[in-house]
Amino acid sequence: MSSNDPYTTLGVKRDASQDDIRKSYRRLAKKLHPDLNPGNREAEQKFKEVTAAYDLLGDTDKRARFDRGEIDASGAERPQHRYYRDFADADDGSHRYASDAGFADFTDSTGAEGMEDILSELFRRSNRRSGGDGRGRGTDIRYSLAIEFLDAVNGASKRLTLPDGAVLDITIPPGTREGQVLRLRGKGRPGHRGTPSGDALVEISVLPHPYFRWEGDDIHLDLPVSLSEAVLGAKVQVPTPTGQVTMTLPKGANTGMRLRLKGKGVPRRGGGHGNEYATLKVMLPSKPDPDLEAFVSSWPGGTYNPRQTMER
Amino acid sequence: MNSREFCHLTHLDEATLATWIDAGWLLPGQADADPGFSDIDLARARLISDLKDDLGVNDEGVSVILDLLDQIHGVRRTFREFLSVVRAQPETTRRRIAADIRDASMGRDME
Repeated sequence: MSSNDPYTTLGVKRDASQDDIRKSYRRLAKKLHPDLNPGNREAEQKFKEVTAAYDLLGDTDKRARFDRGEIDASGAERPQHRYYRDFADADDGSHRYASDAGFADFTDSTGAEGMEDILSELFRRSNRRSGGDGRGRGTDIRYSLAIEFLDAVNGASKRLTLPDGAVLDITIPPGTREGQVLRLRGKGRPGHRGTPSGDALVEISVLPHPYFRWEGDDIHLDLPVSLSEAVLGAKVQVPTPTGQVTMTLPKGANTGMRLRLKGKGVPRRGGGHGNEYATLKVMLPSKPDPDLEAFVSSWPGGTYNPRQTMER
Repeated sequence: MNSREFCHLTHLDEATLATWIDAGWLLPGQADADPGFSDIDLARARLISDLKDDLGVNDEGVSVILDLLDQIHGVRRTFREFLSVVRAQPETTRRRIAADIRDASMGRDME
């Protein structure tokens, strides 16, 4: 039986009527009265507590002052009012009203390197303490989504069907990188009682493409060209993420020559595009060609040695 | 404590309490193990009463103030944790951080 809270001492609720309080006091007093418990020291102590509690709660004025926190259980004046900040700013700070919203943007990807790590570590700590559920806001849910290479470059709309049957419409912005996390505000678990829902965090992985490669803001590809296109020059069709374009091969184009298609790369975050680079690969016909053999046998240029530098 | 006891202590009626909860001003515990309202809810309710009755803040104002207060306490808590980590650093590290902060704020003043 606690002597701190007179309600507990008397075994009544805080909203008990004066009548209930008196009844409860009488019941306890009868049981604990020292004259009815000769030799029972514990009963005597409890009787004192019960009497003190009734002195306070049995008097409606004193009870009201105690309820308002103006006096303590012994009837003494409380030195100070406990303000909200005394609870909200308590050392561990883990309570339902705790909010990280005041600096949530510090951990966005724009944050300075290193600093981001420190802050996200602090975030994790505060989330752990409040059960991942600061101030009643719903928790974030993480998803991962693999998208086609060209959808990542050009942007797309995707629909994610969740295990519970709900659907999540996701807009993939043009130039979405491998590992990038898209935040869908309010699409996480619902908060309770009017508090905001958490966010859905969708981590993107980009599937490889059969011939495009993604490096920085640029797209690279190996472009096979025929012997005659290489020797004589030609206009050839080159695939880019946004479709085929025509490119002019100069006369004498060679394997390893790199041609630039300006602005055909990946959209940059700040606007503009990277470039596409086509590296030429001169291909002989896939089957031996008797005419070509005959021609090359009679070709005086056959003495050219491309391995000259290796043999030195 | 349950909502009846809470109303008794805060001199609120149940209908007012319900609107405060709906507004997100109070977040009583939901779990069975949780006693519903605790001392922090009591202090928060007194703060809301002070704002509305004594300071004449309207309902929209109360929402804004509570939201900003929650943010401030969150920032204070994080900053306090951050400082406790900085204080635990060796003397030389602390001096360097202090010097860097000085430089950073001077650079800002010159802008």
